[in-house]
Amino acid sequence: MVTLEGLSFGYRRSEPILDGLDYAFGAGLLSAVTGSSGRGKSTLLYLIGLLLTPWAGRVAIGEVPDATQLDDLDRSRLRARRIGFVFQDALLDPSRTVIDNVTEGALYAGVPRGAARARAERLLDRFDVRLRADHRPGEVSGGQAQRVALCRALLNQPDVILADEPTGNLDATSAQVVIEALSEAAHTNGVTVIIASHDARVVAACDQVLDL
Amino acid sequence: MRQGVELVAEALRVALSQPVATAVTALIVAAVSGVIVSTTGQTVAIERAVLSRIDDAGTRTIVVEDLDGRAVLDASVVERIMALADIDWAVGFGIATDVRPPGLDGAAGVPIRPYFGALPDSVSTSPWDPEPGTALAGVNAIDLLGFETAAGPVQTSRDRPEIGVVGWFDAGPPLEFLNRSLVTAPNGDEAVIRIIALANSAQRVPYLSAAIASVLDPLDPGSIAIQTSDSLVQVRAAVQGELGTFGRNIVGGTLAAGLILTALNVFGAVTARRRDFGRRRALGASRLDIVALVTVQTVAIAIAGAGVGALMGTVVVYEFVGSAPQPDFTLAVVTLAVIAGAVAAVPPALVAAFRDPVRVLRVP
Repeated sequence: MVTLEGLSFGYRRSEPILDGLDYAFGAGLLSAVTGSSGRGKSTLLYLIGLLLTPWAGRVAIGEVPDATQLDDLDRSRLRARRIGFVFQDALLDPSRTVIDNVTEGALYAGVPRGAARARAERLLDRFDVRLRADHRPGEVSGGQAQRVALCRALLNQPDVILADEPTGNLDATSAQVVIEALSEAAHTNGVTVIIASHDARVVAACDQVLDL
Repeated sequence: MRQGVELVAEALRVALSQPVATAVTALIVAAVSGVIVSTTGQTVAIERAVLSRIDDAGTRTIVVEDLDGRAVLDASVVERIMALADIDWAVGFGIATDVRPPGLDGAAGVPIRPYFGALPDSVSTSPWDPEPGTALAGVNAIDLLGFETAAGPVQTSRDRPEIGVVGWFDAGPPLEFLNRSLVTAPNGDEAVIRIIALANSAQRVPYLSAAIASVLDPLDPGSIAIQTSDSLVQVRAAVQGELGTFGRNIVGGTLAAGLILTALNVFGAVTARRRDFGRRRALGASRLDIVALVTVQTVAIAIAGAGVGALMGTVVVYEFVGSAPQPDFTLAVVTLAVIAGAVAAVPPALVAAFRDPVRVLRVP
């Protein structure tokens, strides 16, 4: 569960992008954030992901009533343990193998390497990319890379997944696979999945939609 | 602890994944370490050799003399001097008289001296129980006496009892003047007219001169002269000071240059890795994690680079000076080079840690 109360933010003081936004994203639901370009879809995800600090308002994540008030260390630990990110271009480290990319976040969440690797193997298996575990990101398709990114986001068993245009670079088939994977994470694992997207197929698959 | 180990492992992995930046940092630190060891190492080795030569010339030696025999020093004064802190050894000598083999009254005499206290380790001797009436001949005195071996009788004059030469001795600095003479055990009634003492460092000589003067207890203080090599001590201090300053300037300049070059290289590397740090921040890395990651990575590379550089510098010093720098000097240089690497890594690490992750994560 992610709750926003009176959230305001802009990159310039004179140009607020979000102005007193109130909204609640339900746990176990697939939620979409839509709107035309420049309306703050990605910005909202970064605010929820605690990578940006709002001008005003608060972000409640689970039992943390106002995560924006935490210092950098606590925000980072909360992000590592409770929040998973999926980016438009997957943003995998090209120098690591697929499985090492998936386990990268374990270091910051304090998950032992062995346990992280076992979890990563299960996730890769579940999202049908296990055979690519020892490949480099340059050796997998865009859809596979995005599923690897989803595995990375799920590794630390987060309560929230924030996906920024996850199907933006994918063909229809790959996009469908990613939507199904995100849907499964929400409906099977009870994760709050919030997707910023223009994609009508994504919006159609979501349980709730916030139109900015 | 486990997280610390995993952070170090991650830093090493990142270092290996960036071979060019890693190699440049390692080369810079190796150059710093190598230049310091090969230049300052040579300076230190030369300084050591020069100081050793000066010390051999007697900077640590203190000579006490009873100039006209009116001080009447007894054997106990040698023990009192030996008891002073910072004295390596002290040995006293009585009046020298000439001896010859019996029946060779016209032959040139060889001096014989009673000694007080123990002969220092720099004097090697054949086995000897120093009984009155026996003597050891210096290695150069054996020929002067016309002996084939260090054995035979000598006497001061025809009417005096014979003294048996029962062995030899070979004295090193500063007692090498003894080698053309004989030494004998005192018979109990001779006075000490000369004492030679060795301080354990040249710096302690002025203090020890005063301390020795205070324990002499002479009958006539006006007869006592204490000689030290003040001018040599000053030369020694000057050499040590000049070469030390020269070495410190080289170390300081090289470290400063290495620090700036390393900082620029690490800054270039973290700038090229903006998206990498943005991704890490999104995955939960704190600013502290980023600073630690960059610093540990640089330190790990610096350790390897400094080690290789020090090894190469040691080889250079060995080639030019003929001896390797002392291990503690080399270890100190490696430590300084690694510390310089760590310090150089901090500003770029802070830049990486405080860069806005959203700026690099957003896809336009």
